[in-house]
Amino acid sequence: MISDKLKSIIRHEFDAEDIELNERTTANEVPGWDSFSHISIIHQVEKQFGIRFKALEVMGLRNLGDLQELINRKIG
Amino acid sequence: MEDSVRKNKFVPKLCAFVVWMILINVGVHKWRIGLEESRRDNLLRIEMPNGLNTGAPRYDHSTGENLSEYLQHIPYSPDRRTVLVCGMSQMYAINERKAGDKTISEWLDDMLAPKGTRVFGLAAPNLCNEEALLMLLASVPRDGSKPSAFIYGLCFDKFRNLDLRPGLQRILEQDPALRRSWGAIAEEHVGKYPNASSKMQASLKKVNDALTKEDKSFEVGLRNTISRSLPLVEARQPLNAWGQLQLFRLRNAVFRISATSKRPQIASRYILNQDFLQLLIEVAKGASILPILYIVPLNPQAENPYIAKEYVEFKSWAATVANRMGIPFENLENIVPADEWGEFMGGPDFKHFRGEGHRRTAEEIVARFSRYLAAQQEPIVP
Amino acid sequence: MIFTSYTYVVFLAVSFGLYWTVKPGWRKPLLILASFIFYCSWKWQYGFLLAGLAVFNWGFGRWVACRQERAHWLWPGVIVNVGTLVFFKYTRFLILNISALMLRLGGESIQVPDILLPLGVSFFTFQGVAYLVDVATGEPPIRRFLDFLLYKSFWPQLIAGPIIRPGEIRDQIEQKRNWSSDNVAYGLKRILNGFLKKVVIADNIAPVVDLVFMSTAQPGSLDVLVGTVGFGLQIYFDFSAYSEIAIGTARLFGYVFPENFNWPYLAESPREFWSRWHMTLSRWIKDYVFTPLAMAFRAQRALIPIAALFAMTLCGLWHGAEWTFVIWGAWHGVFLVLGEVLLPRSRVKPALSHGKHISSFVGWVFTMFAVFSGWLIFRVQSLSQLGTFIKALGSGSLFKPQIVRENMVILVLLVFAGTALLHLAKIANLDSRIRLSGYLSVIRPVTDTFLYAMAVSVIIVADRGSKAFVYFQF
Repeated sequence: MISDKLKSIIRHEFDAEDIELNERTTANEVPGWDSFSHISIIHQVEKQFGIRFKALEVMGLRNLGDLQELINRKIG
Repeated sequence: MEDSVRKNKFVPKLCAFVVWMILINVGVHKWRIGLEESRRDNLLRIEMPNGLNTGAPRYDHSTGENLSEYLQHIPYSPDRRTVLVCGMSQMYAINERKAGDKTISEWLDDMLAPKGTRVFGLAAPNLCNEEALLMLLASVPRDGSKPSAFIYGLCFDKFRNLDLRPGLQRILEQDPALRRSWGAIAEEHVGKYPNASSKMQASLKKVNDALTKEDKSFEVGLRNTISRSLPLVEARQPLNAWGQLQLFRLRNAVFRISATSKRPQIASRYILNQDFLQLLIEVAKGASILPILYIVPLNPQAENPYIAKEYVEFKSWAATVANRMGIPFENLENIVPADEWGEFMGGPDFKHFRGEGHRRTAEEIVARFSRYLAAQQEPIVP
Repeated sequence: MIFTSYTYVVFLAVSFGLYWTVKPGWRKPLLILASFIFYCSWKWQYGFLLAGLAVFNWGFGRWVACRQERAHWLWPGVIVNVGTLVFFKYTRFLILNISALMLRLGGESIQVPDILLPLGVSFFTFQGVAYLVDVATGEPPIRRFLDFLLYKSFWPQLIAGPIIRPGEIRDQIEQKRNWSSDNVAYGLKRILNGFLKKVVIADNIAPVVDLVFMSTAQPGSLDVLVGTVGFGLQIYFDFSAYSEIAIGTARLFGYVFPENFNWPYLAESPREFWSRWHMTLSRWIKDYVFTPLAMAFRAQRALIPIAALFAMTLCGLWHGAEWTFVIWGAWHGVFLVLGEVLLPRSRVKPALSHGKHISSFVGWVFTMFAVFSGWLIFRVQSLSQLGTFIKALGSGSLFKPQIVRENMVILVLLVFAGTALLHLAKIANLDSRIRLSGYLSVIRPVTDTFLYAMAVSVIIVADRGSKAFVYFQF
């Protein structure tokens, strides 16, 4: 289950309200999600959720569901 | 279920593919047979006028493909002079050949033999100056005998050509002593003719690479084995040549290129050939062989693909070089009249004449260079 | 053995025949044996390096997967792989440059050692790093050594990629491969395509390109143009051919490999180019170099382009131990960053936006300029030749070649035109449109197989003797 907060961060980054986002969404499926925007999104997530990621944790993310899980682990 | 349906399509497709390949191979085989037959027909037509084998060959009949076989026929002898004549296809190509026709070198041999000089011809299609140098070196045997003169016909459009052809490369591959002297000459002249020197070294490297390549042997052996059973693989080269010929024709059609379309010189190649010519002269003189140069005859009625300005510059350059290096030089451009030439691609051939042209050129060479060729030879100008 | 050789065809046929006839339990050992035969056909000593690295990566991978604090323990593993690459590939380059520097400072030059570069070392060391990092970040390791050895040494990807990550192949290796005539047909088609691209196109352009770049003569602007465009075409056809044959070969044995090329010359931005060219390498650079580096800089947005520049420069250096490759990498880095700043980010999926807007055309021109001028830097033999060639671009007539013959110019033009047509057809989705037309479907099996037979015949006739792939020297 992807939180609305995460969805809004992503939608804001790509300036597109209508992107379909679920647990299985990968970067390839989102137009414009490249390595640059990836870093930007990660940074935004950290700022808005008040958490900090390690590089290795980010490198292990395969899809949006992984990212949400990682966020949940960091908050909870 | 789906896989079995697809399997049903796969096997028949495979069979159809095999059938097509068999048909193609049969077709190629038939084509090859046809090619061989027409080649044999042509050979017969050429052999007939000369009748039976008239003795030892007096020029390289392989036109550069198998020179080493013909070098042994150069009539060196301690009690007479030997002269070599070198050049491009004009030397051996006889348009509309008939009985009694001979090539330039054979006419020269006939004319000079009574005066104590024998002549042997070395020529190859599109001969470039690097190849001429190699031919000169290869024709000097190690037993001390050597030619007294090396007559070389200069053809302007050959200054666009480069590289040793495979047949001549093979001569270098087979003769280590020749390779050594080739390398030595390259080193010796690196200061004076750097372009030619590095080209010679590049050619030598190519030869050495070809000699040391062993890892290809399995692949080559395998290819030969396969070519024995598959006509398509065996006929690779002639098919490739045929394909290139069609592309060539297509190119001519699309770009409206004909035999007389102007072909400019390519600067780097031209300079290289200029260097090689001067190098050839120096090497010959150094070995006490007199180089004799002439500008080859051209058909006065045919249009040639030369850019006029470039051709004029070339002729004056050649004359200047010959003068500076003190060697005999003549411009034989206009000596063969229009009616002694042949036809090519529907128009007059600008550089290959009929039998009469060969005879006339030989007569002119004898007339103009007699004092260097006949028995009372003047000393070689240093 | 080179892929495009009779030897390889025989090797493949024998392996294929044995693989599908022996008991399933023997299949993996058979592939491993065949892979080592393939690899050792160059130099049998290399086999030890490969086996040694396989043992190390397998063991280290299993060990690091059990650790909690995986990050710390990862470094030794990465260093062993990268160190192997640096030792074999960059020792000479490092010493040459240090030696030159020392001479400049008045010292003595150092003896440059003669180290032979094992084939494929750039690829299988990078594969090792990918494996260890993925395992350390949560990917299950490949437990059985036999399976891992297959992953490491499987010959289609051994010499020049694709660089495969464990997640995309582990399931395939651990589960039984079933016969599928679909796979065989697909694999054969890919292999045929690869042969066509290499033997008929790339190998016939190569002499023209070699002539321009190896000649000691002074080139004119036309020669540089022909050489550069020719090389851009040659390397595309050469390398994508290799990948096609690799993917096709793997498919014959039931393995699905990731793609490595996706019409790179359709890219409308440098970033998009790298998502279409040598895809497995650029994702390696992105995931294992750029991402960790950019993560360190994430607070300062201005430094992120530096990370990109560094990553691309490293990518250049990976291609060869020469300064020209470093400059090539940096060149791409600069254009990558410029492209991000100047070009609009595509709102729609790239495949649909092609040719539809003027901005996409501008982006394409920008990208092709970056890429093809990059190829000039990539192909020159030395920095001084680069200088000569750049100067030559401004001199000499565009219509008068100084080195190449007119026929060579026409050949390159022909291939360029053909390639352009092919790409335009791709944009217009011509192949799927043809497939849909019903009336051809009846005679299709006949015409299809005839075309395949003609393709094989053309390959046999165009063959100029097997030439090594351009990417083998990396």
